[in-house]
Amino acid sequence: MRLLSSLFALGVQFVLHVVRLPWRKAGQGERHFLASYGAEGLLPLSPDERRLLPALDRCIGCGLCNVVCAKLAGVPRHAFGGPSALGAQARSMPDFGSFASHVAHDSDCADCAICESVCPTGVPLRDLARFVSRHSRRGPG
Amino acid sequence: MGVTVIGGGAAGAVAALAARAGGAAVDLRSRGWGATALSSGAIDLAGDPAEVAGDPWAGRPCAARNFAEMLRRNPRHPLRHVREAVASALGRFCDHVPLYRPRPLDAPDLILPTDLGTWKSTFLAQGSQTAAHLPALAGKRVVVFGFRGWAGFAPKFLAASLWNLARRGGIDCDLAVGEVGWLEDDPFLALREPHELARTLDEPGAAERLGENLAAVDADLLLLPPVLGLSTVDVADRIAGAAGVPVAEPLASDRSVPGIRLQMALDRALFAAGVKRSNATQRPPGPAVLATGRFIGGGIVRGERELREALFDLPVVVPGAPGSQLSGPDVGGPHPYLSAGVPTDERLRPDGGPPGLFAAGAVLGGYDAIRERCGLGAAIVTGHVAGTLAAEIA
Repeated sequence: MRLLSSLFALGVQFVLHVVRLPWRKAGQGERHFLASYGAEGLLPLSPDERRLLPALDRCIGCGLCNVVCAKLAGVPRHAFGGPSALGAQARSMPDFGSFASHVAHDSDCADCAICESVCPTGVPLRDLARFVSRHSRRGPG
Repeated sequence: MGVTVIGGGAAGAVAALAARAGGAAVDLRSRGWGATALSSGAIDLAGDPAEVAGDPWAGRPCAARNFAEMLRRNPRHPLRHVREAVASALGRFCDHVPLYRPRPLDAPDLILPTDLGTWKSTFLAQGSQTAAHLPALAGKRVVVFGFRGWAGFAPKFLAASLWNLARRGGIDCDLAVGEVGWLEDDPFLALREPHELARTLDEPGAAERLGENLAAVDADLLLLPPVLGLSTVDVADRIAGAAGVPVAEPLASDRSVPGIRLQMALDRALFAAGVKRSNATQRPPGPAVLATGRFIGGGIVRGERELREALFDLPVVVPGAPGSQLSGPDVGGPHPYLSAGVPTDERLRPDGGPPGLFAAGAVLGGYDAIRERCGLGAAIVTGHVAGTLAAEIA
């Protein structure tokens, strides 16, 4: 009896779904998904990003990358803490939203890679910046 | 054939310079900066075992005595192999890095204040740090200066701590506090990092301008924030010249500019000596010096069950560790893993290593650089010996 009622409910939903299809707007499902999960930063990672994660976590917060960053001088520290802020603080994807002001300084990066050449633990800092930038922009708003 | 040095901190740089002095072509491979760049810039050689925490005046013997006592207490210390070379290695280091002036091994240890209001005894320090040696403040009027508008330094707090330290040691000095205007047109000054101010002082004329702002001060010594130059060595002297008063800086606790200053001076010395540099990571052919450091440098890494040497998979010993016990029961107490590293023979050749390989610095096992307070000193002396020996067979 329960099986029959379940199958009946499923059948009704299927018919409704098919009938509604022509009125559905494109991207509605994605919007619904992002509204539910984007705010928490719990979005799927690509396999490449997943491989990168352990390296992004190696930061010991020593700040040496900031010392050699040539582009940091003109930026107020409350707006952008330098590569070291990304390394030490950007470990939790749900918190990426608070990096919006940091991400605004992405374009200041000269891609010189000197920060990576002094990092004691070999954090791929430019990949990290791109990763944070990409994921702080996903989700609603 | 040339010598390959793996690691560019104090041990690797000194080894490369010694190998060059021995006539070898040197290829130095490094992945980045490490413990040397993160250091206070003060060079410990051997701590005073009689020293009492919190009291700089409890015992104050000289490095020579502390050194002998350290080797007596720790018969596995790698410095036992190179004790004859201590004086000459430190002398050569001072020749290459003009931040430091040599001191005799029988001189009393320096007692230097930190920007946190604590103190540290050490053997050798940069000239601007040595000028703050506490016993040398006796009878002087010392003014601790902060930079107006910069949140990175607390002169009142430091002056109060210094006053307490000096009084306990019977040192009679007059302490005052001041604030000097400098860089006030920088809208981001408040949260600037120490290295940013240091780099500003590297610029031509900047140190002189700061010194002129301090010229009217009635003092025998000015104690300024520990940001006196990043890539130049004479910022303190230039400020002092313009101010007409000697200038000193305390040791820095976190994000220490003097440590980076030391690393940059080593990098310049390597360049001047014609050392070739790369970031190659494969095992080198021929004579080589392994100076990859311990945990920060990445010379010793964690394996699945034990600590491993990262490059040659050499055997690692963890002195005093029964079974797999790497840490001790007391948080502040001794921890075996902090002495982990590769054991060597008396010519610094690691056990189980390929022919022609020597080891120097923190990758060597058998000593705890922090508890025994011999970190940079051990790096410099073993680096000098390893580089010299490698050049002999090159």
